Amino acid sequence: MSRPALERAAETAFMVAGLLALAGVVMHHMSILGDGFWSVATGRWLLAHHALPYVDPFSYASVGSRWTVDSCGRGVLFALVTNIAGARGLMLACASVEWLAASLLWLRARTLFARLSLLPLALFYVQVDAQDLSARGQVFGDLGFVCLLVLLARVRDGKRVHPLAVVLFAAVWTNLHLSFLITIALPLAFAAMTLLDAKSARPPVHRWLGMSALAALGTCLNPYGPQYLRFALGIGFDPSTSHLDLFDSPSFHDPMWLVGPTLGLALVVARGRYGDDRCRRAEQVLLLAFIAAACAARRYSTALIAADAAIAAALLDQVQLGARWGSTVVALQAAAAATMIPFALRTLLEPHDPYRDAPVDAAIVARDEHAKLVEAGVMLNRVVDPLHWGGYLQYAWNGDPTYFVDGRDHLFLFGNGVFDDSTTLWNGGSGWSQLLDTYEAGVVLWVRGTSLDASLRSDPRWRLVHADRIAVVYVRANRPGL
Amino acid sequence: MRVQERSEVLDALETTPPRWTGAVVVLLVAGLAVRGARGADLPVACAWVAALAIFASVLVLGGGKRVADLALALAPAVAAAAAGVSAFGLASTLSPFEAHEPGGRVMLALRVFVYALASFRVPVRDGRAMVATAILGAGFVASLVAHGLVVALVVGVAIVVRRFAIPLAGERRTPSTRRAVAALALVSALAFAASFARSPLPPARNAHQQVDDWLARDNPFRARAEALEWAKHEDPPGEGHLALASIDWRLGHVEAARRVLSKVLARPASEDVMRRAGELSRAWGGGSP
Repeated sequence: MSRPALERAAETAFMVAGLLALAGVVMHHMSILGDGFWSVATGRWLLAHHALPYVDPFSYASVGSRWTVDSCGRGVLFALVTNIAGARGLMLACASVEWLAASLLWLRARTLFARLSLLPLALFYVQVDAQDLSARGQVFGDLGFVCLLVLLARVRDGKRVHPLAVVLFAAVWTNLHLSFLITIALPLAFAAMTLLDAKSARPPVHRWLGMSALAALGTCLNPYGPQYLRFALGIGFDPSTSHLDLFDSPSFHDPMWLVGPTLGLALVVARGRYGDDRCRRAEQVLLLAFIAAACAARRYSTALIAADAAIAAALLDQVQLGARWGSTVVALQAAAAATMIPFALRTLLEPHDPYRDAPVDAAIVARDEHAKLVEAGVMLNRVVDPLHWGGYLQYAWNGDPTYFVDGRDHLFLFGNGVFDDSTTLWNGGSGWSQLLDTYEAGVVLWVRGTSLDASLRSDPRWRLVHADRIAVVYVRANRPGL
Repeated sequence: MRVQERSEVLDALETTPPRWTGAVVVLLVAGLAVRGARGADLPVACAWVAALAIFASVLVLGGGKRVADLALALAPAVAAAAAGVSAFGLASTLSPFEAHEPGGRVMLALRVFVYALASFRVPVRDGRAMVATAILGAGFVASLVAHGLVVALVVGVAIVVRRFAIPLAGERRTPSTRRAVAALALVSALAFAASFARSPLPPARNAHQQVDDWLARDNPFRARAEALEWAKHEDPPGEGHLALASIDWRLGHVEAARRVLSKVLARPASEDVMRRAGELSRAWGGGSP
């Protein structure tokens, strides 16, 4: 085989291996959790009624008359995919979206050396996202953010971006995930950042402002119209949102969370010295802003890695390797391909049960026990569940019976104290018994091995009726009236 | 010129070790006393910040000899800390950065600001300056692992900016550097102290307000729990019983609501309560909610 042919073969093998490895890592971490299940159930409701719901038929404790559906488009899409291809198909579809985001990030690098260097970062991007990776709107948020970085780069480079593309992009994102507000905010912020650069080294500010305005127009294209922005802003900026575990700072005693900030800080210095003069200072500030965001909230760690990768790709593309490095790069590509392909195939072929994190059997038992209590006329008969299983109960029960809480929205639907009370129950703190009385619990479907499980197990007022790998079900042993 | 400037700075800072020691000890003792009285770490944090700010000033402006003086001056504090680390707030300074801690976001902004200051003001073509900035990056990351190290980051930035910074046009170098160091030390101190602040507890609310609040928040379960507690302390039955009956009715507990209402009708606390209970009884009739 001639040398050019060998190089082409090594490159092709490396590209295939890289894409397979990204798919393998994504698929390995993909699951369906509460958010995915409630999206499907809500989508089914929308498809069945052809209308927007205002009264919540699923939870007995929510603010029942003020339900604004978070991302109608996602619900309908998830419901359609699940109806056609089942839960496994939904997992596969969401894994494909996340894979596309990681692949786009990786393929921002153009040269072989840059792609070789950037692949570990693209794999790490998925790894960082793994804690929160499941079949839910976040995968669209991840893809949207990577696409937004691509659009921003095109505007920076003076390339044409069709106005309709921006409007459609923002509209699609709005209907798929609440993070769509960044389509308006990021171009505005970047416009402000470019003012730090010399006039000759920045594109006209009006291009960013125009992009932001078009995106704002696109976000209004949703079933609720412009008022949906108020809903999203409320959710995004309410102080209670920052208290969700996703928005806690990562644990910096775990080295994994230090990688993004470390790389970002190094890139701030490197970008100051290397690369195109255009928007140099703006890109440094952008990195610093994402470093700050990722330090403040774990949720933004993937955004930081994406920003790191975008800046690093541009810098790596400019690295000129001498001829003597050519064979080394080919050898590295071949070695990487040989290592990654078996790993990727193994992870892709491993079984993926979409219900592995769902309390399938326990939900059946809990529904039966609830029915018995209702039939016996017991007043304390309601089902109490942890927040992250509410989505599955919505999916499995479809409102019959209703349950305590789910993860749809902590501010409007469950901002009446129920979200906080569910947190108290989850933490197993003092007062759990009074809370169960307050919410008239007759059946508790809970996570096995948690502190509430231990408390209920040792309390003679409660009787264990079911225990499996992940879930337990308790019923009141005594049945007092109110 | 430079020697003369340094000499002036040293003159301004010139004190004897015993005086430094006294100041630090007084600050720590005062801080501990206030802490004991008010149950807050804020004064102790202020004391530590004062000591560290002094250390930073001398390190940047004074030179090696003064550092030795300060080490001696801080000896009592270190000895005291060894006797009870957590009492001096040191344990918390070794914990990882957490933005939700009081003052956490301010401290994060401070980190980013000082790192940006160092990155933007050093010459990009100077290899030594690049290395120094990279070390500051390591300091930034270290301050995420142990948030107390933010002080070291600020001190490091002050040193790097002073050594390598490109003078801005028309800048009078020494006074502005001094002011920058002073401003950084002040901001650092305030932010660090703010990280120990505690938010005050909300004032207690009476049962009537609590029931109304929960009803306004559309949580009848919580409102019922409050009304139940309220009713337990009522004799004869009054407003609390009326609230309990109404909420029971709303929750669909028809029999329980009627039972509570009958108690009120049998022995009302006042004419007004009697009248309102009668109205509810007539409104409910024999139906359900």
